[in-house]
Amino acid sequence: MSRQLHFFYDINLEFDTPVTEHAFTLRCIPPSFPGQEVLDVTLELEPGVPYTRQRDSFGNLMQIGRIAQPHSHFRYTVHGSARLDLEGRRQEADTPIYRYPSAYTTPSPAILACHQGLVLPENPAEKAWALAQAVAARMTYLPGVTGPSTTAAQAFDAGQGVCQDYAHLYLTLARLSGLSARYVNGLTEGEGASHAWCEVWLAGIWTGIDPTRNQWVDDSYLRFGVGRDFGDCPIERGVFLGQAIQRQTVFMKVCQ
Amino acid sequence: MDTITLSKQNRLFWLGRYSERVYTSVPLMMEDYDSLIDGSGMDYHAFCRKMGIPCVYDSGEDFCRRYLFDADSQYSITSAVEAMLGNGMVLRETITSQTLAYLQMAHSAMEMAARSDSPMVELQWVLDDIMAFRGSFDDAVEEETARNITKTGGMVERISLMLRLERHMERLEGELRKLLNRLYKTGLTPQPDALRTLSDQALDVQPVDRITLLSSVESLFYV
Amino acid sequence: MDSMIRHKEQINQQLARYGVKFGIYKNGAFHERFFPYDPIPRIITAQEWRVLERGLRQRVDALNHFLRDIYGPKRILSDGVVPEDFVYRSPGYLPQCEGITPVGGIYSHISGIDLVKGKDGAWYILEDNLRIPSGASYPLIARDLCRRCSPDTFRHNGVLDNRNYGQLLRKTMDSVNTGGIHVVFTPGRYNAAYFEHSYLAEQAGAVLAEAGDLYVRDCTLYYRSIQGDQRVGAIYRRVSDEYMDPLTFEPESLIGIPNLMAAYRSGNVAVLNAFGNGVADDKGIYYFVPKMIRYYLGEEPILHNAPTYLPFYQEDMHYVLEHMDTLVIKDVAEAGGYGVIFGSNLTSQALDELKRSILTQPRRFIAQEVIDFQDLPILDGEVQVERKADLRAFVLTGADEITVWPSGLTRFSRNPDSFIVNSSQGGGFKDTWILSH
Repeated sequence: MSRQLHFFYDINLEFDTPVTEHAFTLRCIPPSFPGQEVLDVTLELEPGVPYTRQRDSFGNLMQIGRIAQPHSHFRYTVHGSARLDLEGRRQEADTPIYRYPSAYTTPSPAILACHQGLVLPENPAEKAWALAQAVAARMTYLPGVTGPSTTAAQAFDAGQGVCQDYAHLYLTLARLSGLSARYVNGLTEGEGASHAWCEVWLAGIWTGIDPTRNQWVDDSYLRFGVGRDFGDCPIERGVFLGQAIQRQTVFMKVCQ
Repeated sequence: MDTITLSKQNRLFWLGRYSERVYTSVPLMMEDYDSLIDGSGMDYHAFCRKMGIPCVYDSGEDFCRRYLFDADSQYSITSAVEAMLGNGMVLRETITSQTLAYLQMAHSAMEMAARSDSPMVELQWVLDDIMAFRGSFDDAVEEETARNITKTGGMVERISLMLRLERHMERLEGELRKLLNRLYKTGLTPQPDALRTLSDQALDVQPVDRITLLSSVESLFYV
Repeated sequence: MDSMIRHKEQINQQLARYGVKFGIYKNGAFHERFFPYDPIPRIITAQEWRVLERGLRQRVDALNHFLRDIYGPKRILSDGVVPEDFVYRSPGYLPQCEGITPVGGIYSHISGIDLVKGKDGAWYILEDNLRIPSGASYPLIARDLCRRCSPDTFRHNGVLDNRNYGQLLRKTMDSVNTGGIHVVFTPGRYNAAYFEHSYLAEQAGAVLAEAGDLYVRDCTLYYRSIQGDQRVGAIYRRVSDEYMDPLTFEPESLIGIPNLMAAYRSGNVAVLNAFGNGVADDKGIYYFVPKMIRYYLGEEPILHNAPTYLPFYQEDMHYVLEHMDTLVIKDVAEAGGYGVIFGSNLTSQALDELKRSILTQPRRFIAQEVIDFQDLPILDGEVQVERKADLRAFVLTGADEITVWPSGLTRFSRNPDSFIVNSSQGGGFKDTWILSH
């Protein structure tokens, strides 16, 4: 069984006064790997500047460039199609760094205490599942409470957050439980915004689990980037000269 | 080997301005010190007005001391010495350690003067060290553009002080002509209006009033 | 030597003339003060130096092997020589550097290795500094000035000339340059080591640059000059890893160069020292350096570590807990002489507290025997007194050779009771003479 997805992703950054010397690194193109084959993909930038393609140390595709001239918006649009097939995944060697805490996933005393209170099954897959239940039991989905720099510890204290926070908390607990687990961002079938979930290394296979929706990942999840946490694989990161206030509009659509 | 960035251009220019500010102002203050011996001193109210700085001084003595040595005042000569050294320090590999040492020495002499009860002796060293700095700068800086930027900064400062204090006005045209000849060798872009005003005065096309000249010379370069 | 002492004042005047300053932050404000200089040099004989030189080359060679291995195949981990915990939990380990091979495979081009000489006459390694070790400029300029003040001393003593540091640095940069100018990158005028940055730029014939002077276009680093942009082939950066590229590391950094990492990854610019070196000079990894020498080079270490215990290992934990009052405990997360605790100075309550910390976070600490090191004479006014002193040796590694600078920075503590000689804690420095015979 496989599924072919068409995706469209459009981000527009608007600046209230023009900015210059804008350097950016995008990770907005999904890579191909066993289980996910990108059939065609187009990236358009506005202003239309050239960019260089690179792969970072986590294997993500990057598009790197610079807009020197004054500009009031930066827009990037990606569209294409991909074939997803969970059956096509292959065994990979473990990557030890995903077993260690990272900037966003350093356990606080409160998280440590919570972890100690959990009764977890021995079997790694069952354990991975049980941890998702634990996160679901402690978090309420509520946008606007947390931001891109919120850590797992802060989200845990708030008990509220969005997909990024669910993923960070999940990773913190999974790593404390001896699992290798990593952060994933990408798109899922439907319309709206990008999504974040996790992958756990189970019997040699990076297996997706979505703590926000409390489910295993299926063929409707299109992966963009992976890393220890959000900080390693943001879809867009940029710096510029100017005092502008930034406003971002996002539109994405994934359908069969 | 040397290459000049925009930030370096700025520092070279201000190195020229501050070293000239110190070099012109110190003798003025030495004169003032001298005249205070007999009691009179300069009209410091008028001085402050002409320089466009707040007159916060209690007496002739207070002015003389603090205008020279008050490190907390951005208008004092000691602050100009500080700024001169600060610009020099960030230009070490352009102006060489040898040249920078003279700025360091001028700075130390200024500190000694501040502590001395006969500051005129040390102030003479400040002037000597700046003179030595100029010689060393001329000798050691290979890049002609760099030399010209600092010299242009010095000329702008000199003309500005002449116009503010209305001293040596008879030399004004000569100084302006020197500035106009030099600025084309700096790579700096002068403001066209200011340049026209100054050229008119220098070439006797049209005499311009002092205040307009002053604002033109101050706005000649945005660096 | 007497002549050096006689000329102390002259030498200090010369140092002041050349603005030999060291910045410190006190109560949040930046102060610059002259780095106190002591005229009595540390003297190392030619014979002693030969051993040090070989030992230092060997050590730095092994450390570069280690860095290449860690950011590549990680054989030393899979072979169980170094536990992976010491790598992956090290704040200096940067996964963003995985798989990137710097030009020539060199990570630590300029290494500052701190040593002390024990009363037994043997040298012990105190610490490796592979990120941005500072201090070479001070003995460099001091020598130049001492020769002026006391020519006879140098005529009669056969001291190896150390004034080639600029050329050595230049040669090291040349050997990895990818085509373009050399740049020394400084965080700016208010950095503690600004004097050094500008002095070394001058000595090495490089351009001194700050953040706004450099930018990356098409994965290539450029220097903005009024004559047009110039490509940079090698950047000797004096800014820490985390501030170097806001698009890869600390996003709030204003003193970095956006997308520098992309230029580095493409091999379009050599970065001295490479990113991620902190994993190899961590206080925890120090313990493993002799093992690295055996593992990578198949040689016995020529220079010794101070006897070190890792509470991470059960038997070491026992020893440390039992001998705390005679050991020095170091917190691996701290630098610059901070986080160094002498067990003998602690009250029994503080000792218990520290024991608890070690038990709960064994990886965070190392413990060392206190080395009874040789004191050096310094002049305190007119009186000669003895003070603790260390030696920072500078090892320069280019694409094809490893050179030990025939000199070094000897730092001493002001305080007679202090074992800590870090310059940010108020010590002074001396010249270091390597004799030619």
